[in-house]
Amino acid sequence: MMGYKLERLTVMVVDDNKNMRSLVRAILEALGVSHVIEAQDGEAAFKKLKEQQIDLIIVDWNMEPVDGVTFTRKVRTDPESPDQFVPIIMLSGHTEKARVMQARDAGITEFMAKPIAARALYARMVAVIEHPRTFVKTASYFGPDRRRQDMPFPGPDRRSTAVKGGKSGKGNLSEDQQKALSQAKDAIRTLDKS
Amino acid sequence: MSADKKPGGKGFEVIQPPRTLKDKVGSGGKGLDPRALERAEAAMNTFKDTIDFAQQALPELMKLQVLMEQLIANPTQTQTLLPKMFEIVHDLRGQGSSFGYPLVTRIGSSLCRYVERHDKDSQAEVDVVRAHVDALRAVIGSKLKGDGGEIGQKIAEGLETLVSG
Repeated sequence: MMGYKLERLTVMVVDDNKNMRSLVRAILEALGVSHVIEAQDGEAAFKKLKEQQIDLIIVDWNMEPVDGVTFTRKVRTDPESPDQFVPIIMLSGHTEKARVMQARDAGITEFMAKPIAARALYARMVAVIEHPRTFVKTASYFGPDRRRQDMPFPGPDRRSTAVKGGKSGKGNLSEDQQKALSQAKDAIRTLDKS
Repeated sequence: MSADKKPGGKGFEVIQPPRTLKDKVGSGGKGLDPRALERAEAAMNTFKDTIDFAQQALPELMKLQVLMEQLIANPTQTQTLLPKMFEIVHDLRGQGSSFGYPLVTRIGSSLCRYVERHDKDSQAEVDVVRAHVDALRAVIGSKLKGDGGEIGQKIAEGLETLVSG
């Protein structure tokens, strides 16, 4: 099977955690990407985007001073953006539906839940290659067409789970909860002593 | 903007990007290339082994401990302190499994889920948060990798039952 010529790509990895950047770099290089550049937050990434052509951006959400969502919005809508169409894969532990929607509304191309898995990252890259998105411009949005209904939802809908679980009963622990707390504490003590 | 524009009806415009990644990398056949995936997974595992996550997590763990002590001293301040704790735990949750500590991810997920449901200040809430923070400290401090074995399961199951109750 002929593979993609990924060595032709320049990929930028944006994360404030150096080890996370290195981990993503290791995966990308093993897949054949020969040109990986790194940035530690959205501000540094935007500068690098202005300096060279980048084919794909993999960006974390939580970063300071400029986070991944703000960076994405800037790439899509800032008049100074050198490439409003560059594909952006957001990598985040924020997998609640409302958060994914927030990232989507900023203009990401694909979403990938942390922890990082090589298969998931590879699959997102293939999705970006095989299913290029048309862009939509409205009065309040510019970015990949959000009407696509098959954007993978990366985890359980914790928000709805939380609603189902209810918010009541936290003033005091139930008997079952006290038992569970006691079990956890015993196990932690055992681990501390080991 | 050099993209092709197509009429999109009222109030929006559909734009075809000027170039795609496929133009650059060509066709790769259907699905994922198993050999490429194998190489990527091997590279990821090799890299993981070079990272001392327990050492790397220490500064964040210390910040978490400081916030925990503040919460114990001021149990009515959950609305101020819990969001700060959430951010730290959320990061640890994302890193745990990535660097060989899935139990950290599991405990972190349990605490994040609990904090997301936060709605009142109470001593019970402080106890639940404290149990999670103690668990993270113990697991990271003892470098308990993988699922943590029997003791790890006891900790995780206890905390999850606590949060789901």
